[in-house]
Amino acid sequence: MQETQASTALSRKRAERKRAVKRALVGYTFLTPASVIMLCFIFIPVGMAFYLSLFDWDLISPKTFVGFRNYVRIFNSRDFYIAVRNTLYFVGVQLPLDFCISLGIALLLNQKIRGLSIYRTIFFTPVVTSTVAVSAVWMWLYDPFDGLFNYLLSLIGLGPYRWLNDPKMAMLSVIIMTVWKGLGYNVVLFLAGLQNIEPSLYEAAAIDGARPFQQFRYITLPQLSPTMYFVLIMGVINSFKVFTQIDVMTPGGGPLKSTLVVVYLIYQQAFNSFRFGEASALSVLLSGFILLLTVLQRVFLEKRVHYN
Amino acid sequence: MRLSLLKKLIIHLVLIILGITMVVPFLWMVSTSLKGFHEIFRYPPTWIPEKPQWSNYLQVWKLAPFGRFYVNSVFVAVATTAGLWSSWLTGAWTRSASSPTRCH
Repeated sequence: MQETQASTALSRKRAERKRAVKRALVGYTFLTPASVIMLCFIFIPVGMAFYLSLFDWDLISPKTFVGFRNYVRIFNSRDFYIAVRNTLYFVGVQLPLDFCISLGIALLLNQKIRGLSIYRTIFFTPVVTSTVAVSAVWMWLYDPFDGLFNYLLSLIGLGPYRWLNDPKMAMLSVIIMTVWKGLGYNVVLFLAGLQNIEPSLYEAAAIDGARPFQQFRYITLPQLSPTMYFVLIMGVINSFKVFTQIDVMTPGGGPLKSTLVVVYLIYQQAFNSFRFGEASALSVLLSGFILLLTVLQRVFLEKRVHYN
Repeated sequence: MRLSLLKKLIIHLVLIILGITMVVPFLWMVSTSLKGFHEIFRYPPTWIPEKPQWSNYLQVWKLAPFGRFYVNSVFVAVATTAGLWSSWLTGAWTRSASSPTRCH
């Protein structure tokens, strides 16, 4: 009697294990395509970039090992500091502008007004348009001679400005276009976050006599903090990676290298100067820096994020 | 929360002004696409082309193999979406199936 009980328990255990193995097998099979693609196109290239950063290589002649000399060269070159300064300027202006304006628009759209879907569509249109196409259109708009912006500004007695041709304004011009293009994405994210806030929280606060500003400070902001955190982290990463509009609107790094950003410098080193070692070293530095920033944001900001 | 009419009006006004700035580059693009060569550089600029040059579109279609471009773009879009969705679905399924909180 006891023996049969033990044996049924044993066979049940065995069957369970067999099921678990089968499930794991199915799981790994499902993960294989994505893993292979990620391995081939992300992890191996990342490893290659680090490997190449230790070599001198022009794509044609054999690689020569130079150790960390590429890094030394980068830190001794003026272009690197120009690129870092320009990138920080781009991120420092574009990110707060984008964040604040899109949050403002989302707050306005959240006021139970008519035509919400029309407004949302309008703000989202630039997001789904190709960056290259949009950059080309904005280049005409910025044209110093017969551009629309100079014409409109001349109506109120301003200008003419040289926009993309002016070393002092080129980066700002690219930033304005980038904010215009990226705004809608964050508007939609913020709006979704705002619409997820429980209305009963506001009702309770109103009964307790909370003023609109207090409601914003103590309900909206904390409830929206997960969205804000996400928008910030993705924004920092995307801002540091800016390239397309810079390349289209201000080819060659802009007037007096005023729009030379780090990714553009990487591109120049690799495909204009054929210094793949230095380009790889720059890529390693950039990704390391973005990684560091993301970790720092996690460490210092995540505990202030209010998850329900 | 009911809003006063004035407040609603102000909100719409702000949104419309911002909305116009979003739309203007697109309108300008469409308008320019219908202008003749000299009208493009006219100052002050015109909003509505005096004589819409629909032939611009025909010309560009002849100048570049746009049919091929469209086929290429559609191919990239379909292949990318299919690849992403298959990885997302299988990955998400595996993640949820291996989660300890899964209900059987």
